[in-house]
Amino acid sequence: MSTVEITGLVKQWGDTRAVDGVSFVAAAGSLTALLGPSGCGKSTILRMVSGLEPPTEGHVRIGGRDVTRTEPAGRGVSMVFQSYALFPHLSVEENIVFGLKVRRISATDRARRLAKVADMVGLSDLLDRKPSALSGGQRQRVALARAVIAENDVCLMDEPLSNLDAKLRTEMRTSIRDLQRRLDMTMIYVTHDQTEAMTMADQIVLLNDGKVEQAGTPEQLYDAPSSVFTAAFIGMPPMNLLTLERFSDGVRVRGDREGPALAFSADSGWRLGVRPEHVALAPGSPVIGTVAAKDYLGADTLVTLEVGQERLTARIAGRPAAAIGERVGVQWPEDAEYLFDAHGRAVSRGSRTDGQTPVRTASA
Amino acid sequence: MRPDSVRANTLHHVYGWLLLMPAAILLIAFTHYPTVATLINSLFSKGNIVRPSRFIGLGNYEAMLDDPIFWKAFGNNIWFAAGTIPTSMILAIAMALLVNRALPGRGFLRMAYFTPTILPMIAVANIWLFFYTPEIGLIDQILETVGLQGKNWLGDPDTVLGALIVMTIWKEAGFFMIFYLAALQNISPELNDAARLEGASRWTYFRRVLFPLLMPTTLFVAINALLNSFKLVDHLFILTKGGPDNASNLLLYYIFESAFSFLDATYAATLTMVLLALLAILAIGQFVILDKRIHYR
Ligand SMILES: Nc1ncnc2c1ncn2[C@@H]1O[C@H](COP(=O)(O)OP(=O)(O)OP(=O)(O)O)[C@@H](O)[C@H]1O
Ligand SMILES: [Mg+2]
Repeated sequence: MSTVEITGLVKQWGDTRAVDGVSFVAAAGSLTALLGPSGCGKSTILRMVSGLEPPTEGHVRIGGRDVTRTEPAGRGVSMVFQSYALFPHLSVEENIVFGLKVRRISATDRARRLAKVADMVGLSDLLDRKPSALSGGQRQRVALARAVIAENDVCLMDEPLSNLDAKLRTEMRTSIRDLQRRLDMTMIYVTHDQTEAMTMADQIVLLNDGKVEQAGTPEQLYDAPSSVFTAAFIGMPPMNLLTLERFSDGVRVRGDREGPALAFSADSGWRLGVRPEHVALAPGSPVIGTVAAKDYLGADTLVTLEVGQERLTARIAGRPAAAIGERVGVQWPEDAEYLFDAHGRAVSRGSRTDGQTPVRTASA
Repeated sequence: MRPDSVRANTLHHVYGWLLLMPAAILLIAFTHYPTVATLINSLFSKGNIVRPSRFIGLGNYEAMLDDPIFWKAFGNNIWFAAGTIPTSMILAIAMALLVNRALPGRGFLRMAYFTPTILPMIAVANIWLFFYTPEIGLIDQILETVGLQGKNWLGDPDTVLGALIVMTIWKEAGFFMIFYLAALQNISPELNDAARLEGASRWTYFRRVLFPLLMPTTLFVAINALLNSFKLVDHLFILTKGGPDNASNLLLYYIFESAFSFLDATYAATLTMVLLALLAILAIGQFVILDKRIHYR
């Protein structure tokens, strides 16, 4: 079992720093998701861990051994590529055992391992096919089998599900997670899909522009975002972020002159965060919003409301009666409020000091 | 069928034929008709004022089989093909692999490799004439500085064909490289990453992955190279005129000689038919053999 430890990793191409001082530890046998928007450096980090790309600075340790200058094949890592990187002229079987052949593993050993792995990923009937005669999901499984058959402790995946349709993606999420647990692999999983990261990961490393924005368990990132970026990235739909305005008698949502002042002090330009699932429609509430849109999702409905000059999404169970254009009372519990300063960093309510402390005081 | 639908159908047909016509006319006028005319010609004797040309069946073909110069040119052509095709293809792959990598000045390198191809054959022949000229030529001058005896490369029956082969390789390799380069750029670099991660050496990667994926290109290039080796003739006009003693005579040049130097049009037609048949057989054979082992995406 191998822990993967990354310290101060930097990748520079000319003037651009694609990866800018990234550090994190992926505990042995855990699944770490590298999450972030397109172009934030996820693939580059993964390639530096695998050894396909040499880092400009920083170190990679696998199982306590510094492998920063070790060849890819000497690191004991497998990788699943975004486009699968299957060899188009080789059959499924030849694709899967390619690495074993290269390493001169005996034919009987190869056959034994192939049978086991093919069974595990459900490819036993397709071994003679060429990749071009497979569906996307089947190709994905070949790539997975090729990574698994090497029996390495560490498995790296670069957006392995991004080419699949939504239903298949949900299925494969579960089977990848199962496989990772069963084989006790240390997995680093790149994705830009927060749902994937939230459902699968033991640890999420959220990246923004080559830097770690926040790292922690899915619960930590959801409950205690340290910045506007995390707050907006985690959660589906994302957290409402309402710009605040300071009036002579207190702080309100921007443009909301009539509503009551909020129960904390803040400056203009600061933002108030509230998750859609905590917003309720409450007749009689002093905060008034105008219904701008309703998106019916089945179990619940997303109601978009205009409060002052800001927009606010509420996730309401069932089918709310409020019609578009109607003015309704809106409320949310005080302990569901998050406060972010003008730089987008989380601030404790009631204090003005910058800090990483979560604002959700009541539930803490 | 209703009458107007019949009319629409006929119109459709006419329209289709009209669209095909320009290409069909060109093809018939410049390919099919000459081929048939040549075939008919080859069945007649050489005519002159006294004795008009008459039908002699396969007489010309029988004469050809007894013609030592034909066999000489035929043998030369086989050596020429064997000498140029594999070497220029291997060089083309090697150069393409080299310039496909990220290396400084690769744009310049690609250009440099391709330059011989864009030169007209006549110009190439003149350049190489300067290399091969005895005593004052580049090769002999270099040999002289290291104290070796130069020789008349193009004047010696033992070296003349070799000299032509070297020149042709120089010209063709860059051309074939372009095809390989295009094919290489279509191969995802992730395949290389995947192979490296498995510990495959560069050679293993080339043998097990790149080369099989390049097979369609190899087939294409091989056929082109083969056709070229039988079609190439311009350089002979400048360099050797088929000599000395037909040591560098090739089939196409011999056809030209028969038709325009010996003014024997019907024998030239006979040789042309043989060349045509030979090329057709070779091309079909290559398709059939290689097709079985080629992976098309
Ligand atoms: N070979 C390269 N040369 C120069 N810049 C590069 C190179 N590879 C990547 N980059 C840059 O580095 C940054 C990070 O790229 P990377 O591929 O790691 O992003 P990513 O997070 O994986 O994005 P995506 O989700 O779109 O795959 C990008 O801005 C990209 O343009
Ligand atoms: Mg990527």
